[in-house]
Amino acid sequence: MNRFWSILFFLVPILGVGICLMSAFGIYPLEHTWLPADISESGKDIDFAFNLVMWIIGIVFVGTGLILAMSMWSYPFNADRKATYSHGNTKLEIIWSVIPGVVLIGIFIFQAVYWERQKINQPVVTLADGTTALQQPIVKVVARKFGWRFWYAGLDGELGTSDDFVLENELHLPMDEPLVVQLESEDVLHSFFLRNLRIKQDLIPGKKQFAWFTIVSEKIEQDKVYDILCAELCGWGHARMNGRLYPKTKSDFQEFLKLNDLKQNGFAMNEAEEK
Amino acid sequence: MKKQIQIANIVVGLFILTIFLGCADKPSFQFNAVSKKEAENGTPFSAEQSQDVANILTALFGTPDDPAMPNVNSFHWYLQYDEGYAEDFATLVDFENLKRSAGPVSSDENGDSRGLYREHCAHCHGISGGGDGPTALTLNPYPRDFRHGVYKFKSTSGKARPTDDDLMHIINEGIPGTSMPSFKVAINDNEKKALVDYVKYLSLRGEIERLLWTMTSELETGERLPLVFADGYDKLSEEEKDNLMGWFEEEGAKVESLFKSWLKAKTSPNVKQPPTAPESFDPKHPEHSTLIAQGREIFHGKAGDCKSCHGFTGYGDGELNNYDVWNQWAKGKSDDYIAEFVNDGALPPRTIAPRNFRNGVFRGGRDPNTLYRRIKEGIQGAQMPNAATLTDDQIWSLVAYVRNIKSEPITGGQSHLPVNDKPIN
Repeated sequence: MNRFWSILFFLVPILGVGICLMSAFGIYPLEHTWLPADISESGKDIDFAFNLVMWIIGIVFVGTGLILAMSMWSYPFNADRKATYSHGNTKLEIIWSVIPGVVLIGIFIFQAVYWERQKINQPVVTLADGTTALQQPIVKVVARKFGWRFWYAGLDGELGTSDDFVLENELHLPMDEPLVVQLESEDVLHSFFLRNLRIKQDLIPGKKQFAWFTIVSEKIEQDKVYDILCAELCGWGHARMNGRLYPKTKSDFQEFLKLNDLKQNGFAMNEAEEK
Repeated sequence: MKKQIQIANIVVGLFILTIFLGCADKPSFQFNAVSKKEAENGTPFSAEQSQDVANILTALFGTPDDPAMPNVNSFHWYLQYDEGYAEDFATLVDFENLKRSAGPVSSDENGDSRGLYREHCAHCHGISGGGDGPTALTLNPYPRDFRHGVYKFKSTSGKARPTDDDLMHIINEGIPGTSMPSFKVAINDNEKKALVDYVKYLSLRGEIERLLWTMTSELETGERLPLVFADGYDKLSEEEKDNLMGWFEEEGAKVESLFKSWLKAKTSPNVKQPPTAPESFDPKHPEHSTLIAQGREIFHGKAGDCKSCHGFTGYGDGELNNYDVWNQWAKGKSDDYIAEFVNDGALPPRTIAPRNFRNGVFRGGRDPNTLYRRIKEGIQGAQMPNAATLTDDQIWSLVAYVRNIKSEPITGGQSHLPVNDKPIN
C-alpha cells in the first residue's frame, strides 16, 4: 500500500501519452480522432507548429510525471523520519525559469511567420493602374444565435451591391485561389471554425474582421462536404450552430453565383429552378 | 459513529438526486390562457366546464406523449356536406409523422430520432405550440403561437392556410431577423416533414381549443358542453353517441371548415404566380433608377402610403402603437387588465414592429417574387394590408424600391461613407 500512490500517479503520464499516440497513429479504437483532414494551403505549417509544441510539452509532461512518481516511490510514508527545512535552490530556480522562457520565446519567433501570414497580412491584389489594394471579401459571414448567414458578393465580386444574395448555413467557395471572408456577429461572441482549413476566428459583435485562406483542390475528396462549427459557447443552441462548406471548381462556382443571383435577385425564379 | 454519518450523507444525497432527476410529471398540453380568459369575460368558468374542454381535447388530439388525430371520417356530420372529403381528411397529416414528432426525445431501433418537437422546437414554441416555451420571454419577436393557425410567410392568397412547402421553407431557411434558426443541415428531410405535420396538428388543436372556449362562453351558468367523453369516442354509450352527433350537426360546420381549410392548402392551394416584372426591374437596365423613383413615389405618396407604418426613412418607425393578431387581446386595455392575463400565463403583449428596410433583411425571403406576394397579399396576422388598389407595375416598383432602401442615403445626396473599414486582426 505504501507505494500505491506512486504507481497510480505514474499511470497518468503513461496513459496520457499512450492515448495521444494511439490517436495520432490511428490505432483502434481511436482512429479518426487526431487532426481532421487538411484541405488548405497553409494548414501544413499550422499542423507542424502544433506537432512541435505537442512534442515539447509531451517530453516535459513525461519528465515531470517521472520525477513525481520517482519521488513518491523513493520517499514513502515513514513515521520515524523528521521533516527537513529548505530555503530553496537559487541555481535550480534560475535554470527552470530560463529554459522554459527561452523555449517559449523560441516558439514565438518560430510561429510569428505563420501568424503574420494567417492573421496580419491580408492578401493584396494588383489593380489595373499598377497599384495594390487589399483583396476584398468574397463572402460576408454573419453569425447569429444559432446559425450562419452567408452573404455572397455575387458576380461582381463586391459586397453591398444589388447582385448580392444570401444563403443560410451553406458556404460555397471556389478552390485554388486566395479567398477573403468578412466576419461579423449579430448578437454575441461566436467563433468561426473551419477545422479542415485550420481557421478559427472569434467574432466580436460590432467588429468587422477578416479571415483568408486557399482551398487546395488536390487535397479534396470528390464531392466531399466539410463542417463549419462555432467554437465559442454562445448559448443553448451552440451545438447545433453548424454549417457546411462546399468547395467548388471555378466554373462551378460561377454557375452557382449565376443561379442564385437569378433566384434571389432576378424575377425569373421559376426558370432558374427548372435549370 | 463516523459510518452512520456517511450513510446519512448517502441517503440525503440520493433524496436530493431524486428531487432533481426522478418523479418528473409527464408534460401535458396547457390551456390557452388568453383565449380562455377572453371567453370568460370576467366570470370564470367552473372547474367542471374547464375540465370538459380538457377532456374533449384529449379525446380528439391525445396527449403530448401520445398524439391522436380526430377520426373525422367517423363523425356523422361530414356526410351531409361532401362525401369526397371522407378519405381526404385522413391524408391531412401523416399519423406516423405525428408519433415521430411527439413524445420524449429518443431514438428507435433504426436509429431514427423521435420526440423531434421537444428536441428542436418546444423550448421556444412551448409544448402546446403556444409560443410560450421557457426561452420565449427572452426573445424578440416572440416565437409564433401556432394556436391561431395564422402564418405570416406563405405563398397562398389572403386568409388561406400555408402550404406544406411554405412551412418547410421556414424550417429550412429560418426567419432572418428573428430567433428562428435554419434547420437546413441540422435535421434531415423526413424529420422536417414530420415537424411540418406536427405544427399543423398543434394549429388544428389550438384552433379547436379556441372554438371550445367560445362555445363554453355561450353556455348558461352551470351548463356543460354536450360532448363530454373522457375515455375516447369508442367507449361512449349509444345515447352519448347520439348526443354527440346531434351537437355536431349544429356546431360541426365550424370544426369541419377548419379541417377543410388546411386540406385545401395541402391538396389544391391557391398559389398565384406573380406576373412578370417590367424589364427595368433588372438593376443593369438603364431605366432601373426610374422604377426605383416610381416606387419611392408610391411608398411616400397616397397610393401606397407605406410610410405611415414603415416610416419616412424606412426604419419601420411609423406606426408603433398597433397590435398584431396574437397580441390583439391587449389592444386598448388597461394595465390592470393586461396584468391579470400575464399572471395567468400570457406573455406580456408587444406592439407591432413594422419592417425596418434599412438593414436589408426580409423575414420571409428577399427574392422579388416573395416580396411581390408580401405586398400584393399583405401579411396575415400582422397589420400589413393587401395592396388591393395597386397595379402590378406599381407593386414591382415598390419591390425594387424596398430592396434598394438600405443603400439609399437618409440625408440628401451624400451617400454614407464606409466606417470601420480597416482590417483589424
